[in-house]
Amino acid sequence: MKAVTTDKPRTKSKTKSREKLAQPWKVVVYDDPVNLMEYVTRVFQKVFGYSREKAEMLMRQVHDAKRSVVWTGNREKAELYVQQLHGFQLHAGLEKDE
Amino acid sequence: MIIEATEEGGLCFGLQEERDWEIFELLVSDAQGRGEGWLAKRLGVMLDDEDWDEFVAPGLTSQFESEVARVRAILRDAFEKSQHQQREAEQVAEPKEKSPAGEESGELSFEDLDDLEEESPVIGEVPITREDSGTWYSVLNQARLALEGKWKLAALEDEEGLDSLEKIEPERVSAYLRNRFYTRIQAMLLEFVLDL
Repeated sequence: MKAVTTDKPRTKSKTKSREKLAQPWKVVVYDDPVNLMEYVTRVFQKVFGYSREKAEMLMRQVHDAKRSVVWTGNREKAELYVQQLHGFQLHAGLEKDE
Repeated sequence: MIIEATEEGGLCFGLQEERDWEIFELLVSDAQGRGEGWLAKRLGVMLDDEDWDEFVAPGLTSQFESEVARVRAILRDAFEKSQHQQREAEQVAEPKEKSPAGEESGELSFEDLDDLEEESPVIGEVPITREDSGTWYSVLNQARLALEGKWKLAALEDEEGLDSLEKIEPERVSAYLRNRFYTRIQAMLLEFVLDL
């Protein structure tokens, strides 16, 4: 039988302050020349549960203005959304809502 | 190459020339892109968060790589199946004898008509099942993102123009054509198969 060894799981020593997490954050999607418009629309529907109309409107904004704020809220959830959008290969980032 | 919808709701590529396999080999090669983890790194550029690189990027890289591996495996199976079928066909093939009556009259038999319809027979099939459609879409996208990153194909189309292709590097033209092909498949997947 083959022995399998695993490294000890790492733990995060750094914690984000409550204040930092509570600040509103924006999920921003940037335009790129690769992702198809229909695909972007469907990804917005899938990730955020938006209606077809809202998803299409946001997709148009990305296309025309080169970026769109697609969601605003707490940082943890915003990070999760960005991660999901990256999983669909969309160019997305986080911005602090000033 | 012909592309058909399947009864199960997927697509199937019917390859008619040996070199059609090369297009799919190039897809896998293009999707592998520009070094390990290149796509996750590229997507993460917009995030100023060290945790992202440490905790999220490896997961994304693993996802993208497993999708490429899945498509590579589908292609390998399809190629092996086609080779097996060709060997079988060669073993049972016997020279066809023309009907003496047909030769005399100059008329075509039903067999001759079949031969005419199948001038370019399908030598192999690459299936995209509904279940694998998301994986295929992703791999096509990875390939297109890599090609765009390397060859700036959008600029070629929008600014530089395609009127004088002879002035453009042949490798870039080849990348452009592959990108067009991948885009067409993606559009078909979105229209007929992909259930996001």
